[in-house]
Amino acid sequence: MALTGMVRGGNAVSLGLVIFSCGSLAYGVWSLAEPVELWALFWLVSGGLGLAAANDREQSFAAR
Amino acid sequence: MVDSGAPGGELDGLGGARHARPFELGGVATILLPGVYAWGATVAWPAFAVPGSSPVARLAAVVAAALLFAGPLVARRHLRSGRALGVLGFVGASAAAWGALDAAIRPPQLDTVRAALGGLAWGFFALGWGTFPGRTRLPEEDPHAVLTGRLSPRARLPRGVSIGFAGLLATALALPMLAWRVQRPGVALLAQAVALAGAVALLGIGSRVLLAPKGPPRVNAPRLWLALLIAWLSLGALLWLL
Repeated sequence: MALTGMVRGGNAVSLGLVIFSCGSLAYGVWSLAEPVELWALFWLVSGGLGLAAANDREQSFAAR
Repeated sequence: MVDSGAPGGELDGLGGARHARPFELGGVATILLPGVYAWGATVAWPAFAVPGSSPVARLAAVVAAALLFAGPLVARRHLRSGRALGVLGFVGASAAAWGALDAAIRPPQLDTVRAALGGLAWGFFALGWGTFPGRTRLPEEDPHAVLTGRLSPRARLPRGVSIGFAGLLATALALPMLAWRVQRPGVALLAQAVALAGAVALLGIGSRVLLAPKGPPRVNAPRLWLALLIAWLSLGALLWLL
């Protein structure tokens, strides 16, 4: 119910970005144990960008 | 309900001084108990128990202990100065001791259990300072306190938000756990740092997103970071396909 409310409120993109960042960061940290860290760094940067985008959106909406 | 963050010196005029002392002592104890353990396990032990440790390290350890006790005592009257002494001074003197110890605190020489417990004590020490002086008087004695029973909340959090927050918390806790898989020294440090920063950012930003009020569909949202993310993911997909 709350999730549909957030989707109706236009919060779906931010919520999706946070969920994406959760998975991306977790997979990135997990992959750092593998021999080649290139893809781990890719997913870590993706998680960081996702969080930055969600933060940017929420700060912008809160300021209005 | 009023919860004061004021130091003890401002209490006398409010008639709460007789209750202030136990609260103050509790606040001091929450700093000193973990602080003394952290100092003993991670500063004093290597400085005094390891044979041949530097005199500078021992002097710095003694200064750290003095600052540990001086901080909360000064903070009861002068909060900022006390915090500067008790936090910056104590941590600075401890760091000076570690620097002077050099080889004595390299990983092969460390007792891992003592180091882990010492690290935990440092965490509690930080939490103790974070809440100091905390509640220094009974809320009911404040002249502005409302004593007509419990006030019912105007709204309750929907269940979906609680579930979402539980997922967020689980992920934030899982990140530092996953970082322990990484064995190689340099990469392991990177993994721990990234996991910690990611967990803090996830909790902060995620909870703000979860608690954001409902409203009309949002147009004109900022798109810079979103565009960068899409470009980054497209680049990754291209490299993966090649």
